[in-house]
Amino acid sequence: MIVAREVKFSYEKLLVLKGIDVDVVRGEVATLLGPNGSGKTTLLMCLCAILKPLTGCVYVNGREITKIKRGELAKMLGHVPQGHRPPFPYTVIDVVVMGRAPYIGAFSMPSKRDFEIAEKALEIVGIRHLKDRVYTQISGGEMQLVLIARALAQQPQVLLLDEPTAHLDFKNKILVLKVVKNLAKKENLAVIMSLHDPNLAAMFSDKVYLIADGVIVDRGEPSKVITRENLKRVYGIDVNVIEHEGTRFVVPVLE
Amino acid sequence: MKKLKLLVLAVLPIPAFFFSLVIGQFDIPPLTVYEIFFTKLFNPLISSPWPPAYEVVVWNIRLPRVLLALLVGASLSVSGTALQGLFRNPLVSPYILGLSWGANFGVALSLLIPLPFSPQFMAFSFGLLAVFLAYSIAKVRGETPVISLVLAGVIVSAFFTALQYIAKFFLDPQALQGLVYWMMGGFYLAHWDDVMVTCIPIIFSVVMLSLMSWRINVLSMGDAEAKMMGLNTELNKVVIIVLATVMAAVAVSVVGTIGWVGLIIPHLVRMAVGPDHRKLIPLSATVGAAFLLVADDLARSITTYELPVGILTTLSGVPFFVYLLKKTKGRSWS
Ligand SMILES: Nc1ncnc2c1ncn2[C@@H]1O[C@H](COP(=O)(O)OP(=O)(O)O)[C@@H](O)[C@H]1O
Ligand SMILES: [Mg+2]
Repeated sequence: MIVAREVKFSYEKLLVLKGIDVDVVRGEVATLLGPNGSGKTTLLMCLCAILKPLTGCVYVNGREITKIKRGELAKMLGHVPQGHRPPFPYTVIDVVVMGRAPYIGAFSMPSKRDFEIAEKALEIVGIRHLKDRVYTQISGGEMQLVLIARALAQQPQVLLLDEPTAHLDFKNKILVLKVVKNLAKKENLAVIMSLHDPNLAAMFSDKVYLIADGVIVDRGEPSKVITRENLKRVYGIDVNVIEHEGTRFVVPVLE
Repeated sequence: MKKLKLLVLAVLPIPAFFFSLVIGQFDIPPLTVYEIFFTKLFNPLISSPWPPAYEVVVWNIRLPRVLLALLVGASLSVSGTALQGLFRNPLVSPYILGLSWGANFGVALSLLIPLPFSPQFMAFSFGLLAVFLAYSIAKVRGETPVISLVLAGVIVSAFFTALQYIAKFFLDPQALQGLVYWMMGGFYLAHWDDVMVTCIPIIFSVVMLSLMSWRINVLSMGDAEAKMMGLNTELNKVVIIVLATVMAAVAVSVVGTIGWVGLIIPHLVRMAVGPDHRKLIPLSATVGAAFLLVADDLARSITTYELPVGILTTLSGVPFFVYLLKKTKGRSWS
């Protein structure tokens, strides 16, 4: 569904992505796991054509992304941003209905049906009751869910999320990731998200891309990728990997 | 209750209009004023039972002035609202990209050297020129980030301020006084021609920006997000800046640089009806129109000597902003 081939990217002279390959199909949750500054955000920006790779290509649904018009791309691919500074105190439903923009002409307003789709999106992520609340006055976890609902209102086949758990407390992290995982299965979406907690990555992904310094160090099932050796290599710390009832946990060694 | 509030704000210009028609130095009974107005409106050919002077005052002096104040008030407010939304910043006014200083310089230039163009035309062209310069300076690799636009506006304003000072240096005292009057802004010379010239571009821009109002909601989420929601952000930005600039430049060219209206009204309306531009843009038009009209009524009636309305709008704007700053502790959106 979404494929990257040999993607390289540089900010001015600094080469940040050094030839990255990604393949994710519908129904699958792929996680980019890596330390701060490893290039996760940059890669996600390349995957949605906000940034243009130096070399290499991104394909969505078999089509080269640079050949797809913005308006059309927005119907195929939803992006949930990381550093989101809420501007005006819009209501939640007004924020979510903005996801309908690719379907609405420049001089038109969202129709009743657009509002229905937006409400449905809120229901899917489980926060329909927040519909009339002011977006700037809800919690961080709820805000993240609103942004996911907004991306869903675009009715995409691919969902990209940049650190959806950043700044969330323990409970909200789990809540948001459960929603994301459910979406991939129920709505049959190809999901790519970035995380930097290996435990969460192991729990919620079908596939992990371990990324360090702009290079994919390892890829595959979480159990194969999240290993002592790999984590030592990427994060530079010693860990123990413990298995409990089929789930793997990474615990740092504190001498 | 909510609906009622929207309705009241929407029809505000109507009472303001009828109230303003009867205001003036020349004493005419209010009923006669309305009689003249409606008779001229519906039966312009009927012979008049009232003194001809009354008719001149109502139809050729007050009416154009009232209409012009409505148009200019709507124009500056809608322009300010659209640009605040686009720039995601509450301190943005129609003059943020250098429009007013460009226009001031245009007028100074027309007073300084004899040109085949009217001061109005010079104000309009130099206002647009200033905004165009700011936009070009801000453009980097096909993109114009908001912060670059704001800084470019500061640069261009400074540039035209400097040029204007040079021009002022060579102006004779009488021309200088004319320039100062123009800069303060007012309607004392309002004429039917001014109404005719301004009404089409202003009404057109208000309608277009109202139609694009939901787009402004999406754009206010920031460039990257608006792009992800499928918008061609550069094109949208250019269209909105052009509409907002042309409508404000038209207003400025006929009445001078009236300050603060384009800053206060967007805030007031946002406080009243919330941030959704679908309501904000059309209601900025009606509230702004009514506000400037009433301000002008005050300007021409509180003293025997007429005040420039720009002084009144500024004087009312300053305490309003102090209040806003205190209330929101500097984080002023809602
Ligand atoms: N706008 C930018 N300009 C220059 N360098 C940047 C920019 N954004 C990110 N970088 C650099 O690119 C590298 C990767 O950043 P990023 O993709 O944000 O990593 P991550 O999301 O994994 O933390 C970092 O070294 C960062 O300093
Ligand atoms: Mg990041």
